[in-house]
Amino acid sequence: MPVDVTIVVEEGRPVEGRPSLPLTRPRRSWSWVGLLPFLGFVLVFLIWPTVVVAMEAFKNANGHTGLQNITKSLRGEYRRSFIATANLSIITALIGGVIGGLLAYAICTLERPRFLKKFVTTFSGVASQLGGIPLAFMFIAALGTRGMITLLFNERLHVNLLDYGSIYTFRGVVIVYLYFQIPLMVIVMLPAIEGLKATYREAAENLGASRLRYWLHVGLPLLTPAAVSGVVLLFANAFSAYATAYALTAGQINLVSIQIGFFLQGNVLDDPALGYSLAFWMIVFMALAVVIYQVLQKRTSRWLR
Amino acid sequence: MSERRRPRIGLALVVVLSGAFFFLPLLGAAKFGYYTPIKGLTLDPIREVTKNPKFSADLWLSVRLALATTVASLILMVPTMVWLHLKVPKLRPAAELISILPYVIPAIALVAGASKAFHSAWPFILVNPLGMIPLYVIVALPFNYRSLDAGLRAMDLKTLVEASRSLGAGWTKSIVSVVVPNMRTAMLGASFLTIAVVLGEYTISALLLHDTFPVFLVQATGDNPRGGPALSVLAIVFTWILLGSVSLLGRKRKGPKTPDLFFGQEVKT
Repeated sequence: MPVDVTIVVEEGRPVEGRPSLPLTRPRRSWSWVGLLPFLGFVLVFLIWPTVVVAMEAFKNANGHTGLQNITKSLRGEYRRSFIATANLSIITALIGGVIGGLLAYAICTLERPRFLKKFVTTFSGVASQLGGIPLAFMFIAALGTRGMITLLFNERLHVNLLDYGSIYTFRGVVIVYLYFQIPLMVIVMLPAIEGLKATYREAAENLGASRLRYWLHVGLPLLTPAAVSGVVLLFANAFSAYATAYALTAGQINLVSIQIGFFLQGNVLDDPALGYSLAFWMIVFMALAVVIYQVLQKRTSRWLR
Repeated sequence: MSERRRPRIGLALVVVLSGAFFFLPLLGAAKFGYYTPIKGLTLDPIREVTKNPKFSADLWLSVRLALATTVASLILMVPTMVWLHLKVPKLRPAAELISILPYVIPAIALVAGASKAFHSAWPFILVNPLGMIPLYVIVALPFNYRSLDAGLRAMDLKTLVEASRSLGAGWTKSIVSVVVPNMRTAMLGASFLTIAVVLGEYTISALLLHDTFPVFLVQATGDNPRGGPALSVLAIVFTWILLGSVSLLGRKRKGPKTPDLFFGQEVKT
């Protein structure tokens, strides 16, 4: 049972998340002590490394505290890598968002085949977590220079897919990322679409609204917070990815995560500390995205009750 | 009628095209890895790649890491989550915030910080391959938190413990023989997710120079361009089965749903 209890106050509007009257007298509680092992573990293995990243980020090339690297990491080549990463994230978030949203709507609307919804939901849960090395190699084997689908298009349709962009470049990374972005959007949108009650539509129709009017004034406004938060989540998801893009392009794409990887591998010798500044900015952008996601998600869940 | 029919065809098209996008590359890769025009269906590429002595060593490291991370995660998270729900439910929002931090701090940033932080203090964490276990526990934390949280929400924890206590069981006995058995499904789900995450993890192990299965995959594909995809197809199908069974485990729950940031399990609210 949920611990949060909904209390009805005078106006008849439910107030969420307020616990019922305290059962015990309020006194100084020591029960949080039970969380110490967990907190200690997170402190040592997550917070400490993060603090180290932040501290190193504010050091100059000579090791003294300063803003040299933190500003340098947003200029020149590094600026381009942030822009490319943001572009990749925005493009895959928008395309993945639209297709994922449509797919979620489709499986909620189509009644047949019966297994469709269950199958797509389960598959989305799985595919949204897929990524990394095997995914990259799967796409290389299918759409690479000698990939099976590339050859098929060449032989049967006389279409050279490579004319439209190679799988080893930015466009290829976009396609491969969609393989986990679309399913993630399906997962985010499903509850919101299921929350669109048939009664809303009936009410709108009874009041004389056309299909278009229903969508413009009822359906889409209700879905907007979920859709926006989903796109933000997809953005963050693409922004932080490393392995897939690295394997696909053999490190030949200028993304922030791959730049940080070069610094860690010792491939950049002139200013090794700059990698921490890049990592610091990445954390900042991720934090922003996740905060926006959380805020919007709270708004969405209001309608799902 | 025709007005209703049209959008349906469009929607069906969305489903069919998505299906093609999700399954054709896998079929293409399978054909690439397991079929040659001369020999027809063949296991030669995968036989060759698995003959590499590094294959079993690297896979074995990944398996050990996966099992150890799973056990360590459960030891850390099961008592924490039970305590959180039973004793300090007020702190749940704070704990949930902590649980999504590994998402905010991506693996690439975590490994950057960890390699600097532990370099002088605890070098064994970086030098020994099994030293990565704590970092993997962190990476798997959001999954473990969500799965166990959903499991605990789905049962009437307070009543269960009160009933058990009033029948004379102590705290330990109540937790071990009443609460934990009721969390079996959630623990199993958390374990499968952890195993899938660790078996596929590349960033941390590659940058700490430990050869796990995904690292092997990258190295082996260089020498054996068909063996790599052949092995990748197997890895993907294995992950599908592993993660698919998680969502089948969580199927029974009902009630209003909110999307799960980390996995498509339906979380009861």
